[in-house]
Amino acid sequence: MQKILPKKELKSFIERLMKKHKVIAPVKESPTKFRELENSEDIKNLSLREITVLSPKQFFIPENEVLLEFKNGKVIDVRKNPEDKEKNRIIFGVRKCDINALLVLDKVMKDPLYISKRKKTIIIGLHCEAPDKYCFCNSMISEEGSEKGYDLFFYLHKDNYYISIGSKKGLSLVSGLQSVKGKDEVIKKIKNFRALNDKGIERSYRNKIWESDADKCLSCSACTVDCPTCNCFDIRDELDANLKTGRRVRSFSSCQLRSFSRVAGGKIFRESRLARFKHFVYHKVVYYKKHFGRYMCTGCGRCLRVCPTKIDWVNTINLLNEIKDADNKGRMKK
Amino acid sequence: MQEKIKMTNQKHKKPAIGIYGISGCAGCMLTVLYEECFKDIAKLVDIKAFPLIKEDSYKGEFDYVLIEGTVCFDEDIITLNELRKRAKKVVALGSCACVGGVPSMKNFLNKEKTMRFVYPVYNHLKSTNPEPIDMHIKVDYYLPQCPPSKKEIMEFVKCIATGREFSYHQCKDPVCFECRKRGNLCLLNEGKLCLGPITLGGCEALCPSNDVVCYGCRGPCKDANTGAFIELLKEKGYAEKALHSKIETFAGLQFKEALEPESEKRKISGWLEE
Repeated sequence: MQKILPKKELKSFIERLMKKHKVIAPVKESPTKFRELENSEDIKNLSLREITVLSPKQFFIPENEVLLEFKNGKVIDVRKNPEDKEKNRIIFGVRKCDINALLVLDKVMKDPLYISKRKKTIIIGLHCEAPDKYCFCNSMISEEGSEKGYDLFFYLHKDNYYISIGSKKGLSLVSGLQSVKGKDEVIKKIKNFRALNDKGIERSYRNKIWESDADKCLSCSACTVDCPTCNCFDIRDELDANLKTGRRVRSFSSCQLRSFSRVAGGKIFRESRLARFKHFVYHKVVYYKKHFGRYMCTGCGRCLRVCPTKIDWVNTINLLNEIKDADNKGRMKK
Repeated sequence: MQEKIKMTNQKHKKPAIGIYGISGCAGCMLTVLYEECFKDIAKLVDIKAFPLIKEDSYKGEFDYVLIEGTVCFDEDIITLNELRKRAKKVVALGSCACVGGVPSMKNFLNKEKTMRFVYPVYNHLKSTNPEPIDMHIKVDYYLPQCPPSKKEIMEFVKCIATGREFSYHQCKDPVCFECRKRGNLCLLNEGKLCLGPITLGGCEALCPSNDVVCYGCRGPCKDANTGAFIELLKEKGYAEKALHSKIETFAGLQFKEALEPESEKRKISGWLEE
């Protein structure tokens, strides 16, 4: 069942949502980013076409998150009663790729802080009207239709939004709107300008082709920070200046950094840039799929878009298909 | 290990520290004096000597000596050697002490011309080539940045007060990592010459977050892929001169080692060691 909302009434619809919920949406700023809407001025500045630099991941895995607090030798576990004070929130205007990213994260993030944030958040998706030359989301859908991941999903068609409903919570938000008859429903597909074909990747771990990409890599970690599914972290203890109180903080980290795989004693497991770069690509396309049956990459194209040296690993993977078996020096280690 | 834990739990004596400056602008010492951190520093450590604010009558030994400034005169070397003998650990404070800072620009300029440009009368000056202090004495810890970050100074003070190893708590990643985490647009992609990818982070990307390019004041990051970075800038059409003058602003000497690994090694600098 779909509901229908005239395009002109979108603003008043969001205003209605704002009365009961904290509404987060992409706002036109420099750069365009998801943030909480504070007033009607923000609603005017909604930027629904542009792809945001950071994905909505930041609202579920914040840059820094306190895990426990300690005071005079006593430990208070923050995770036992996470954020009771937080109002229910709505993230509006999430693209299909970013919704899929949350489904990817759900499988690995089993931590109470993440789960409570997920439960308290309503996701309103929006069909992507303007994919750019970096997007390849259609190639990365491996179980199409089995999971929705959204509470509501908006398709813009002519002068109306056609709203698909994914959950009861979502339905309660649009119960006042007019329903659409079954045959008039609108469901659109995203048009991509590029595709990824990973047929040849598994047998090509030691292929020399990766070296030319890794040589260009500056290890700036932009790809992993902006990626909607990267979730690696670092944990450290912060001590206050009184030396009695402090907290244990989980902060975002990146596998592209040399310090990331450094362990006690100074050993660094992935010292070479090549190993780090290949780990990123193989994790997104191969390793995760082996465990969970779907790609970790959702094809949002952020890593390609932000890379300062424009490393195109998607193109590299496509090239691998054309290389015959004989050209590969060795197979991937099992 | 057990012993170490006991030691940190014990109420041990506050570490005795001295804060000195050689040729420099005194800005780094002034940063220590900021209200946010100085009242805590004064509680956690015993400041035995701080010539900037009090008379220097202390003749004893230090646990830690923080030194600001660049080596510009022969007198500076004498001061350094004397402080090194009196201190268990030496800490380089600020860009000048760590990587050479702005004065080290002189190494890449015509010396005569530079002297004439700055001083009307310069015959009585006996300046040497400006160099970071680790080219003359052994340095144990580095607190880079111009001026050094208050957060990092506080972290250092907390570490020495509790007996933790400071270098484990120091950032070792490039500026880009912190910059991206703040959701900034890449200045390089916007066509500006930003040194973020090859510069050591820990400043929370202060400049790029305010739309100013990174000048590399924290010195080179050990993991920097300088070859690819130079290649990228050449592709973008930057002249070698523009690139050099940018790199030589703060840490030219250190970057030179990083940029030209085969070039003749000067005196060993501890910066890029682990």
